[in-house]
Amino acid sequence: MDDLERELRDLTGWLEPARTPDVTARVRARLDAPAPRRRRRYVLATVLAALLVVALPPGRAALADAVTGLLRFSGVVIDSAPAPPPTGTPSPLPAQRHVALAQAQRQVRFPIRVPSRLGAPERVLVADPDGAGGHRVVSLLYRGGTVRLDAFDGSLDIVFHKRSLGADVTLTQVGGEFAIWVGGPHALAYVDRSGTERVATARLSAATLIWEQGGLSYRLEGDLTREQALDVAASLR
Amino acid sequence: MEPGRPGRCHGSGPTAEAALDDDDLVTRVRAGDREAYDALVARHTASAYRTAVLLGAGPDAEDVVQEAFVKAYRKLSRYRAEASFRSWLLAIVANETRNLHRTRSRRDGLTLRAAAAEPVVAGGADDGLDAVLAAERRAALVGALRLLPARDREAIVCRYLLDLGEDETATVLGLPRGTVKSRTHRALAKLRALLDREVAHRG
Repeated sequence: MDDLERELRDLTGWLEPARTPDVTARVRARLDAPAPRRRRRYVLATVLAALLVVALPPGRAALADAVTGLLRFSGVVIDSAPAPPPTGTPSPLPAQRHVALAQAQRQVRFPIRVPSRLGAPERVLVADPDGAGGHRVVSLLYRGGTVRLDAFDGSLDIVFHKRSLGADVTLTQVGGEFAIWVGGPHALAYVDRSGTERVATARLSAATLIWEQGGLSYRLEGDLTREQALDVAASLR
Repeated sequence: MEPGRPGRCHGSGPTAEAALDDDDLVTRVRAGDREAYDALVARHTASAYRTAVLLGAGPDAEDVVQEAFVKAYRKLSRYRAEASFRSWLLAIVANETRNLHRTRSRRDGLTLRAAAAEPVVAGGADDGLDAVLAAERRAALVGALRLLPARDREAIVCRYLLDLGEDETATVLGLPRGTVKSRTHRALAKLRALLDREVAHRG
């Protein structure tokens, strides 16, 4: 493969659409016009939840609307283009609430795994319920909420691993699978089921490790070094 | 299924559907199971959408994908498992995208976010010159891609941007494999010439 071919392959990472629309309901409506439009939550669950991380590297070159560095990984979009800081009132994840760990396990459709390195969480949150009472996101909080592990149900298909990454975003591995380390400050938004982008909160702008395991996507955020984060990730039980 | 192209159903919890592959789902759909088709749609929306965007459907990509899924459902009786369901579906997406160009007489294929690339604005002190040059190079590459004839561009998009193999590209574009090979080769040569011209022009 020569240089041009390699460049073309690398270009993909810069041209990736930021978000995939959900067409399931509309396709179904068209195929099934007389029937009531019922949403199939378990199917939507495979595609919809995505966390959007907007990396805000200070002083990066501004590319006029165009070649933005869009990185999509495991339900997470990292946009390394300069973006304005999140505006508007920060809102929490949709319908987020505190529950006990055992209760949380009954309210999500996936096994909740706890990092043995951090031990039992101080607080547990579930968020974004579907109609049947299953929640899409579970968050384990540690150290007074400064370290946070989100697990969310589902991921977008991971096809492209070849990326041009900025200094603040690097590829790494967790359990032999690709993972992403965002070392710099960033704002965090959450894309809910309807595709609406919500500003989650500005509470943490610390480093984040993102990886996928067993069909779930994990996001570990807090005042951790990359090695500490990888260590925590490897200790999920 | 190629490696790295997950056909698995992510994160749907311990439902029976999680373990079904595409062909199982197709069999179920043929037996009248609509929910199985929902699962196929959910599983392949991302690739279908990416394909439509990169083949130039632009803002109509979402409509193209929706239309492709509706057509695929109606044509499902004609699907033979010679190609993967995904390639078969992407062929419908490619065809719908071409129809779009025809009906709206769009010459331009690649209405990507990179299309309107403008010169880099000088940034802060930590801006690497390399990053600026790389961004310019990407913009030049996209510019050159846009100048290619649609057929050549399709081959490049499938082989490199979508990273499809020759066989899958042949299925998706509805071409003999040999044609894919020669067209890709020709398109790369044209692209090189366009880029050389660009460099000469700037220099």
